[in-house]
Amino acid sequence: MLSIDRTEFRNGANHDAGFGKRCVPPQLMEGHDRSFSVSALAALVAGGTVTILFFFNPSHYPFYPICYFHSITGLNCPGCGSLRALHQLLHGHVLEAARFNALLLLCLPCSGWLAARFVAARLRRQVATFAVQPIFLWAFLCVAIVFTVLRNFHSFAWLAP
Amino acid sequence: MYKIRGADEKEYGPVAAEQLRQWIAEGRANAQTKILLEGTTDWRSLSEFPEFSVSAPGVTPSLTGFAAPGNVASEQVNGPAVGLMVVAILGFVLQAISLVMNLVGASFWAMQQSNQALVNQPFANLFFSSTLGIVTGIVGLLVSGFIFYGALKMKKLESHGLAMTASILAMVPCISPCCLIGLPFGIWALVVLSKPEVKNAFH
Repeated sequence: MLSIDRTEFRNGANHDAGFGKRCVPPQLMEGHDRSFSVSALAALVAGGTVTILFFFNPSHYPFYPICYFHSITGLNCPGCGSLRALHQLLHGHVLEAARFNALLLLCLPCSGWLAARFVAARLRRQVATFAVQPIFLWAFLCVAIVFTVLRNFHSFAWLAP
Repeated sequence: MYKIRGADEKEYGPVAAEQLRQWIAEGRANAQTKILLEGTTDWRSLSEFPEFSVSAPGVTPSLTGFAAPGNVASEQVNGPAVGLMVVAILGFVLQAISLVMNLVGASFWAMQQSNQALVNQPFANLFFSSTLGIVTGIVGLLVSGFIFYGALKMKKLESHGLAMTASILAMVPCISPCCLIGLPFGIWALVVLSKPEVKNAFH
């Protein structure tokens, strides 16, 4: 148990006397600065990934992560074809990108908007979050399930990569 | 008189309620800041002190109100947290196998058998691909580890930000160890984490 000893307390008046500075807690924004650094690092990693994805076509280079579900079952998961779709999108081939993964193409504007909202809040030094209304999240899950089922049927082969 | 734990994890005080209200107004303390009331031994969140519930500007009533009982929040996060752990463990095992295969070159042999286009590639290209394959394998292991850590923090109600990040990573194709199961568990986790009573229960 924590014992309270008044001598351990940092009394503002005492610190004022010592260094001419008030001993007050730092503003919580300093924690946000650390998060900002993490966000900047994440942006840097994302930039590097996009660069690799632009120059190296996932259809031709085997170093990209593979889909274990597809490797084992032969079926397509909702994410199958994402890297190839992104590569095509980076080269401006929107239709080709949609052919590889239409769901990803639909998600990108929403993800972009969320990311822009996050960055804008950070720049304004406000509380930033990726939080979305739960109803939208459940709706997205339903769409993803339907998409996954359909792209594994021959009739909807155009949804498969 | 109150003693507070600042954003730098150092202790400040004791100060009077009025001084504490000023620190709240200056953005030095918020609903999650730990407070020790003089004469007691338990550090509690500022939100648990009704006398400060209207002091914090920009903090919604849901944040300043009393926190939900920890066990209720624990029950809510338990399911998605365990699900994320399963995703992470599965990913870790698969990435480890992939990494070993890349290291011994078996993946190239398999690729060459299945993709004739690779047979004609120069050795330098294959070496480059092998190296990047190992790098992506290590990154995959790190991502799986991070998702597991975030899920663990979520289960213990310790870091809301880490739990959110782990949930999002579990959903993203090619980053997630397996987006097929990561997607439903990630969405479930995000829904639970967005509930105010759960958010308040995090330390």
